[in-house]
Amino acid sequence: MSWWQIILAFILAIVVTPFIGGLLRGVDRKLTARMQGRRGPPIQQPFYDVVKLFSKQTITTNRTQLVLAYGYLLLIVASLVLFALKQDLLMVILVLGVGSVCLVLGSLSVRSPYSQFGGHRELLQMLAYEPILILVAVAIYLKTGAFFIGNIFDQGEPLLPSLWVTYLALLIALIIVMRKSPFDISASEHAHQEIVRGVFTEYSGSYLGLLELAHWYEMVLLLSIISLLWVPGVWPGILLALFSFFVVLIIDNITARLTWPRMLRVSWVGGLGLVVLNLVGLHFFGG
Amino acid sequence: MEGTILAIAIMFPFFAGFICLGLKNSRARASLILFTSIALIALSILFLRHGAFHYTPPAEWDIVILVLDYVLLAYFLYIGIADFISIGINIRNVFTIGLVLIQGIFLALFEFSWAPYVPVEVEPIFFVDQLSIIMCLIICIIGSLICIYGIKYMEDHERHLGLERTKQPRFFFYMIMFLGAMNGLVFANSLLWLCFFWEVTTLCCYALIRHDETPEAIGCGLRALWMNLIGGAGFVFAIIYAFNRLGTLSLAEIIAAPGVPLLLLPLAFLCLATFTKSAQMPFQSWLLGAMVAPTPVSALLHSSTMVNAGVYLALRIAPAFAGTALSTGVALFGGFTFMTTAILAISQTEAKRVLAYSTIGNLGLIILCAGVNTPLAITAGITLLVFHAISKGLLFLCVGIIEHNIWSKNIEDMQGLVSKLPLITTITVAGIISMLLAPFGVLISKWAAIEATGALASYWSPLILALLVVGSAATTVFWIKWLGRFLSQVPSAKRAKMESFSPIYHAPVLLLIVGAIGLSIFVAPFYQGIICPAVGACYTPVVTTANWFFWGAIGCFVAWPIFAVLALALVVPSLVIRLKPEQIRPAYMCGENVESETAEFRSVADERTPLETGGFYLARTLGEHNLNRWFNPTALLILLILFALVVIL
Repeated sequence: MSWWQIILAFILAIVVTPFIGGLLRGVDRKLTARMQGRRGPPIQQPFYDVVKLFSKQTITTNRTQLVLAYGYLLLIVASLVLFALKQDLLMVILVLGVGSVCLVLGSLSVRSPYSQFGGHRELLQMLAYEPILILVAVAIYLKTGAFFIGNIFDQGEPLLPSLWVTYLALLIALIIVMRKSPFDISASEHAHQEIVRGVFTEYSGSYLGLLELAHWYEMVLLLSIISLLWVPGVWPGILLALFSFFVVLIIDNITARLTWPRMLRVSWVGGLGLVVLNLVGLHFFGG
Repeated sequence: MEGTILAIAIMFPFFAGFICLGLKNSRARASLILFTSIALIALSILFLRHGAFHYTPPAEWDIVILVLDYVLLAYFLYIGIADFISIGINIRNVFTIGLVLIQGIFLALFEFSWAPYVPVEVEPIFFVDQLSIIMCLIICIIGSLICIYGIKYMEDHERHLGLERTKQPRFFFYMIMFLGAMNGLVFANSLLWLCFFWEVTTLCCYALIRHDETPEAIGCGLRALWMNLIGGAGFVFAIIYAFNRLGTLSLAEIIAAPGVPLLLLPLAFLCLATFTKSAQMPFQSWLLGAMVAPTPVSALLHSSTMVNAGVYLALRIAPAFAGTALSTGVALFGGFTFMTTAILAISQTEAKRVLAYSTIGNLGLIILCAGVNTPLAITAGITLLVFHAISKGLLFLCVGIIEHNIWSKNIEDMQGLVSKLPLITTITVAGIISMLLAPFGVLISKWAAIEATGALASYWSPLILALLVVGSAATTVFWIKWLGRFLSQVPSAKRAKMESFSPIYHAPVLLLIVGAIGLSIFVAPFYQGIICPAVGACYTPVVTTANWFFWGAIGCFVAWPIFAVLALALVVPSLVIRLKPEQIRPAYMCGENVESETAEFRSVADERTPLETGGFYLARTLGEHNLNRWFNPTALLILLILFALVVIL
């Protein structure tokens, strides 16, 4: 990579991503509203929300919580930068994991029943999706011969035809990371439910804004991983990611929240099982 | 020179231990322990500077070891019989007696009847290479720090128990002797000598576990004894088969021997010995039982001695079975232990048991690496051995300090400890983070292990990977849950006051945490200087360190940039963010908070009710009772299949 490519990757990952993420959140809210027969807010509403959050005064329960909000945001940004630099995919996933851990610890650092519930459930969500993501990286490795994202681009042919089983598992992981039904167990979308807002309950003002921003980055990162399944060519991958995003929205609107044992069962037996099946297939038939 | 430093490394701790046994004065004993520790640390660094060599002591020593070996077995037999007399027939004494007899009889048959000459001569007796030097560094540095820490811990411990007569001389006798035995174990090349030191570590372990002499401690000690005797018996069979098939008892020759299939059975027996020593499933219960011992013992067993002997041997003999079915079986077995212990740890409420499960799991991961058996995997295994030893030693010492402050080992009692004991809690939190988050050393090994297993050209690789990733995710869960307890605070504007600083407690802990973080940041030079030569002895190293990144053959771990991000994300805000008292509000309780700085809310009839929170343990689903029914038989089955395969092939 030449130096201008590196700078471009940094700009893309740090500056452009929030705009994409915010826009996607706007589309999400609009489409969800339409599916439910409502008008919905304008597409740019998430940006208004975050800007307003940043203008509020800081109220909190302790300092640890605030520090960990920065941790959540910056580590996810770091992992996105690694992605944009076409680094090791497994490394990207591990750093993403560190970010998620910060979120959990932030919510566990307050002695509040709702926030504690949310934190523990978020942990179980990580237990559900992290193995899938790591095995996806291995599946991609088996096709390309290296864990570097750069190698996928050199591959020359799309991965989806031989990794479509893995793709299905990735969809499950995407639902969990986007905190959508049926796996929205750590932070229910609506604050009037039994865990209030789960992990987010004790955050307010600009720090809640930071978390929202981090969530946009996280979502874009996961969609980018999905888009890797159809390179080279920029558009097929992006279309695949957008299609997956749409599928998740539909699933969100037609399902209800599951309990954690069920979530684990679906994601391990379904998701993990699928990837392992795909790996076995790759070993026996070479794709 | 070479003979001298070897003799000092092995025999000096024995002597120092014996002197300890006679020293009733606690100050004199403390000075002796301090002196021995510093001497051992200096000695281990001398070994590192000297590099590889081999050495054979005069032939009389063979006789000494031979005699001592039988004395040791006779003592084990005595323990078994004494227990039989005191409580009658029981699994623990039946197994102890039976296994000692098997071991003694077969060893005697071999040495005096089957072997062509007595004693069997091996050339060289000691073989010092980079791997054993790494082990020596771990034993001498971490082990010594633990012994120093033990000086104060045992004082507090005995005061808390209210003992009339101190039992410390015997305690430190075994503690220090343990270090000498471990040094002998890692340097020995002759299987007979190795077997002797192997049994001495079993003895020390048994004596230290039963130190408090409660019925529970005695039972756990005996369990540790007989389970390790299974491995000892395995060792004797390995000796017999190896000599039978190869005509030598030199470990180096066995590893380098061509015609591997012939050797698989002795190697499998050695693997059995490593599994019991490292407390792999289904032998995990002895290490869990060992938690009744005083905390320095746990720290010593888990980080620098005992269990490390097992994984050391696994890594040592790995090149001999590369590419065989045994190798795959070992990887599968290690992976199974790694996953199951991580899941079992989730339901544990006692801090030391969580640490114990984590140890067994990490050793499983090292054994998995030995089984995957590619250069990258072996790199991962050795790196993990080092980083795990540092972090785990640290964590046990931390738990010991916490225990002596709150007199509890229960994780729930540690809730909000960060505002009561900020110093030690911060160190513990950092220690836990060094065990589980990228880019710390343990995670580098985990990363390398995943990539190496992914690249393993075996049909079993997807299954091993599945075990690996599920175990790794479950590891995150149990650690973070615990961290959450530490951090869970009641909103308050008051700043936490630092607890008093005790050099003997805090200095070893601080040294270890600095070591864990420092080596993780400087992993590139550390790899080049220490790990790479050890891997290079039997494999072609694949890891390079351009830009101070960790370049595996098929991926790249970028450690220091992520450390920079971590510093920016966590350290800078924690220094910069300042809160005014009016910015701090109580936690959300649906508007029913009591206006005070305690965690309370208004419930029925506006009654003030204390707010109670706790961690998830999921004991109904993931409890030991539920899961061990499946895990133990499965582990045993894998072990049996492994042996069956080896015998058939």
